[in-house]
Amino acid sequence: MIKGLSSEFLKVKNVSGILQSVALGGMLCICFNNNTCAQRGECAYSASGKIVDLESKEPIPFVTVQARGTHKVTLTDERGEFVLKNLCDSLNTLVFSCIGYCDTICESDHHHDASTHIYLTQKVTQLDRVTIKAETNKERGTKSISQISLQENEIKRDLTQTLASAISDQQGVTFTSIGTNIQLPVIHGLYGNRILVLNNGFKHGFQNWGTDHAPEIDIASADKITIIKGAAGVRYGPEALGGAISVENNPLNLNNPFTASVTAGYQTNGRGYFVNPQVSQGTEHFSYYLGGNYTRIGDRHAPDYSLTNSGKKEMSFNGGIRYHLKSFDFKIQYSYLDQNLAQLRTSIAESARTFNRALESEKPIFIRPFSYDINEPNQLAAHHLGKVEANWWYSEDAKITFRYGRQFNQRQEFDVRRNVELPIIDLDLETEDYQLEWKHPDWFSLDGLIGFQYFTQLNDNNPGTQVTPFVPNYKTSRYSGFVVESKTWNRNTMEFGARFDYERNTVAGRQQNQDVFRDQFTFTNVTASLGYVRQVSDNSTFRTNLGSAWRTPNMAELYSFGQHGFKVTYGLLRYRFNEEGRVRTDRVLKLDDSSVELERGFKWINEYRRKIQDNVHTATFYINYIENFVYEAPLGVFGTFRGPMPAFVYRQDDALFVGFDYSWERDWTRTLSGIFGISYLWSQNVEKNETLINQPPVSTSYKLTWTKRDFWILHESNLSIRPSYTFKQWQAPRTVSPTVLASGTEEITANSEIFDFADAPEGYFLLELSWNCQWNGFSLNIAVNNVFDIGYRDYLNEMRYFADEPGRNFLFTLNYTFTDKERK
Amino acid sequence: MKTMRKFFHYAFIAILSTALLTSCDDDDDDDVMPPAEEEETETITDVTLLFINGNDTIRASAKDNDDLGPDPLILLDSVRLAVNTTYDLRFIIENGIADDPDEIDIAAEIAEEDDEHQIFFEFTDNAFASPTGNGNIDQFDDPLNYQDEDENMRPVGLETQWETPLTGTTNGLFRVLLKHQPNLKADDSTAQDGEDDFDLPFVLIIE
Repeated sequence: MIKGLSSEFLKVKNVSGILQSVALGGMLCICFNNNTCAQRGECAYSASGKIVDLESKEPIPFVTVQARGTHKVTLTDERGEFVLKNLCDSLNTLVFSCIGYCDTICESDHHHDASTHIYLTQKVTQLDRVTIKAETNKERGTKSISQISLQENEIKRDLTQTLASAISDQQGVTFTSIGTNIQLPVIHGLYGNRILVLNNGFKHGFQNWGTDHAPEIDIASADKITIIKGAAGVRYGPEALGGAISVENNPLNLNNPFTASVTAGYQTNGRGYFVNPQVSQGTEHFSYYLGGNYTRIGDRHAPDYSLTNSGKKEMSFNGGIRYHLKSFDFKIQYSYLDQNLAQLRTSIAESARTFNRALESEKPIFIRPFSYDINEPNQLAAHHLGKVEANWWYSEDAKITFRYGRQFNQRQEFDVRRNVELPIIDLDLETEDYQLEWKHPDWFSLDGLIGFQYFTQLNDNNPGTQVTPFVPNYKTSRYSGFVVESKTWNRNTMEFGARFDYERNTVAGRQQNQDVFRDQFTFTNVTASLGYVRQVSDNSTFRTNLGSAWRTPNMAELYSFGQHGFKVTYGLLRYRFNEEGRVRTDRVLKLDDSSVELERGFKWINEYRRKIQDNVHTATFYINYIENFVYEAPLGVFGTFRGPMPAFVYRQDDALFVGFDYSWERDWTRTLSGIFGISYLWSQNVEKNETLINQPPVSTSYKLTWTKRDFWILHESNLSIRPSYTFKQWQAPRTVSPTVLASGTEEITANSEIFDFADAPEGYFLLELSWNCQWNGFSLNIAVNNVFDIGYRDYLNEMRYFADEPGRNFLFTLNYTFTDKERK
Repeated sequence: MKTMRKFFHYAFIAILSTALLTSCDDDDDDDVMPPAEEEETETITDVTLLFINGNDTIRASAKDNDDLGPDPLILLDSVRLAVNTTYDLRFIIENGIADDPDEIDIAAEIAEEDDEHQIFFEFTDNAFASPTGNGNIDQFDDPLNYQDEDENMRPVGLETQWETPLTGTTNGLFRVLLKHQPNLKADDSTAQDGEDDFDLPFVLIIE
């Protein structure tokens, strides 16, 4: 909503056009003018203005003003004034973020979320359009936690990739995978159930167990992805031990002109293609968006061979509407994703001998010519998410939010076996969330949120797999209440929070002889967090957060049994030791009779960010202590018809993770900027005093970007080069080969030291190139991954036992965006 | 435009109130139905080798009742054959865990999918008069007397023939390896292709 010109707020300097004044909601008023001196060459534009409180007419100091997409940042001074100099473009998107001072003021606005777009129709000839977008504030309860946000334009560069790989360039973030399609985000060494994936504000309700189930989220539908690196358990609930990843769809901004865009792309490796159309529009009271995506990729290829059965097929749809009244706001959103993911055919090794053969073979054992076909082993998944949200600003500075989400997740997995046409896993999972939040009015200058949540999940095995399901049918209900508060004074913000959860699980499953077992267990848990942010100076910020999070061992960790690949694994409740100390697996234990405990994490994370002239340094240091950390440990070698089988069990021990991330951004010249990054993690099972398996190795990268504006007919052109080096994981456990295991020369007992079946792969150097340009509504991106076509294996990819990673890939992405300038 | 707005206004209120109303009827009870009973068709618990010579049948069995459990696979007998005799080898392959009689007989299932299966053999060098050599696990085209074939005219191995020589063998090896080779079985497929369904190294005695 645009307030009319209010001349009393205008502070005029160097007028070269008609001035515009904008009111951000009812409280903030921003006045600026764009001063252009194009004849002085490029990067001579400037923008200046003043930010004042609309009500009190007091100037607001220390508001960060950034020209979006550049490193040009400034703060408003004591008089609320700012000047952004050396802007290279006549067309600027200014981002105002109000650390400390106006976090509250922006939120208490009646008419907008903090992220609302405000469009001005500029009459200054050099200015086509100016967008003011107040940066979405950090979520309450996570302000003191180090976090990174990816915006739509960064996500849209490559829509064929998974959520996990889209965020993996960030420091401290990587992914663990099984092949090219199934990738799980890793934050500081933790993944799976220890990272909470939020899909539009709700815990993504999927079969989150094992390393072979990735969240079914299509990044084409994402408008913003936020990675929270601390234990955000208080704000978001269980499972956020390592951090949280929040994926948000289109924010349904009001006053947004009709925009239609089509993104399409082709990649050479796997001959993949995708198309992603989207439309959106927002008027004063109403907004909507609609989008879809179709992706098809065939078999990828490593430098020396085809990775047979590594393609994928994905289809998604998403849409939303918002209706806005004076103090009410309603949103309805829906998204749907359907995918068929192939898993490398050569990865099937169901006996120690075939596995050993696969390990020792230079090339995969199963190689066929390129094909788009997806055969077994593969996974079919469909995910529906429906969301209703209502906001009520019942007074100037208070708000009540109600959210309801319903998710339905269907999963079928097929394996190479005698009954190949039958799924081996066939599960339906229904998830419902109810969230009620009260952003209370200012109370002793505390800014806070009090919330209640009810979460329920129902898992159902579909009959007809001809395999005893190892994930039982279950119902989980959880009642939670939380409070997060922050208090800001001078340049300090203190944040604290507490949460209470009561969870009840009812389980009904089958033993292998088809006898029914039942169990019911409840957990009550309290989590807390404490954080502090200090604006040390105009150029540096320090934040620290100590948070806790918890989770119940997941159903697979509790109940799984049987063969996965060429090893046998038993869940925490599926094995016991009898009086003679011999392991028995003949019955399922009740949780209360077992020694199973909740997993609890305590993470202390610190971030120091400092800007020195053209350099921005960001250093993050963390310690994460996890009590009753669940992991797979060796147990012995079981004799079977298929030959000797290494047997594993889930165990619980205490674990410690310590590490740092560091990044250094520098503008070398006006057109050349670079980012250096390095991540290091040390982790240990402190109870058994041994290393943990599958922990991310040290990695480092440098990205150099050269930006050229108004070059030839192009408005903007970016060329970037990104070399990266990933070291060999030297903290990997010892290696015991399957033949050694099968021969019995290495005796494996429950006290054996953890081991891996193959050495950690060697370090590798990769180079990525990318060129992006914009012309009118078009933008083109050409990227080359693995430029030198290097054959390498990734320690965190379970397929490292069998095959190399994909080789060189050219990716072409073309986007056309039409924006209706004659908006109403 | 105004009617549109009105329409949306009411639609929103209607949807919201539905959501609120449905939210009250949760938590009926904690009754969770167990998954349906499944027939474990992939499991093999008993394999018996039948060496048939006229009315005379010699058996050698292997058993693993708990399949993937900690109890070991037990080879109950040695393969104990007479010298200078011709035997037809047949198999009983069973899933002792299944209740349905159709599911118990795995050999029948293998016969049905014989274009994906093959049994390979390994034995003490020249322990037999025919086939000679040490079997086809190390070299797929080594001699072996297959007496059955699949629809592609490729050997299966549920039926084989063995001739013992005049000289005996003590403490020899008779290893049978059933391979599952979906989309892999070919004229030149070997004992290295595909997955092991069973791999049983019996002791061979010819006396």
